[in-house]
Amino acid sequence: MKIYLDDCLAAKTLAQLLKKAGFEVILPKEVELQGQPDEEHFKFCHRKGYILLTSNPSDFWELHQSNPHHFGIFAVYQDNNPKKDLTFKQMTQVIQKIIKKKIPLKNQFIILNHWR
Amino acid sequence: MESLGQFIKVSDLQKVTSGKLRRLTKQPVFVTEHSQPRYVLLKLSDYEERKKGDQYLYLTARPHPWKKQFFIKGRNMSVSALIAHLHREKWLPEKAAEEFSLPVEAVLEAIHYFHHHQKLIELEVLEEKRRAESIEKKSRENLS
Repeated sequence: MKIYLDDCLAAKTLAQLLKKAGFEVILPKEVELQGQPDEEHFKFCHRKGYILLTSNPSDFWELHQSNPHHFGIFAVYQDNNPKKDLTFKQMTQVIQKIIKKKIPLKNQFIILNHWR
Repeated sequence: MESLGQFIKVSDLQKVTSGKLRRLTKQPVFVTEHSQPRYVLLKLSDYEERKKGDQYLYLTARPHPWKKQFFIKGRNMSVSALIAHLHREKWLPEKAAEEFSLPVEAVLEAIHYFHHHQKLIELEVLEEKRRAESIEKKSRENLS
């Protein structure tokens, strides 16, 4: 399974954790999309078959609404209390949990926060 | 003390007050909350100038329907998104810089901006959360 990390989550630790969990991971820098508008990240994932992981749910929801055909979007949101935020480790665990439950991902927009 | 562009880094000082640092640096200072046990300081004289026009080297405004906070230049990442990583992962500025391949100064500027625009950032984080919870309801309905 292939996961693309949006600019706001393109951290080396998260990429390593996901790779260790068996995912193929790509960062915007590796495909020269760093700093590009959300649409470009979205289009790349659609073209190349990646699930997009972002911490910017509202903007990607708009893109999902206007083009609901994609390989899946995982989104996390920031709580006002950092203790409630998902750590990179928890994000990886939640994604593994969703995959294990065989939740369909294609064309789906999944908020990870409530899956922990 | 080590000079870091427009910032000064103080190592091996466990407890140091702004007053003591002011005497050490001979100028007003800004102490971040994110750099313990090492304190990373911004010269307040520079800060005061930049505060007037929100002029940052590594931060910029981005056109967005409702987010007014600054973003990291050349990245699609808001200040609040970067600072959330520091809080959540308990990173020092140096670690965050390494993780996102950013200059340390960019992270320090984000910390600085965060501390001086807390109300705006809090409102935008709450708005994103409100929107995400509404999306969550809709997407769960689609999955069930």
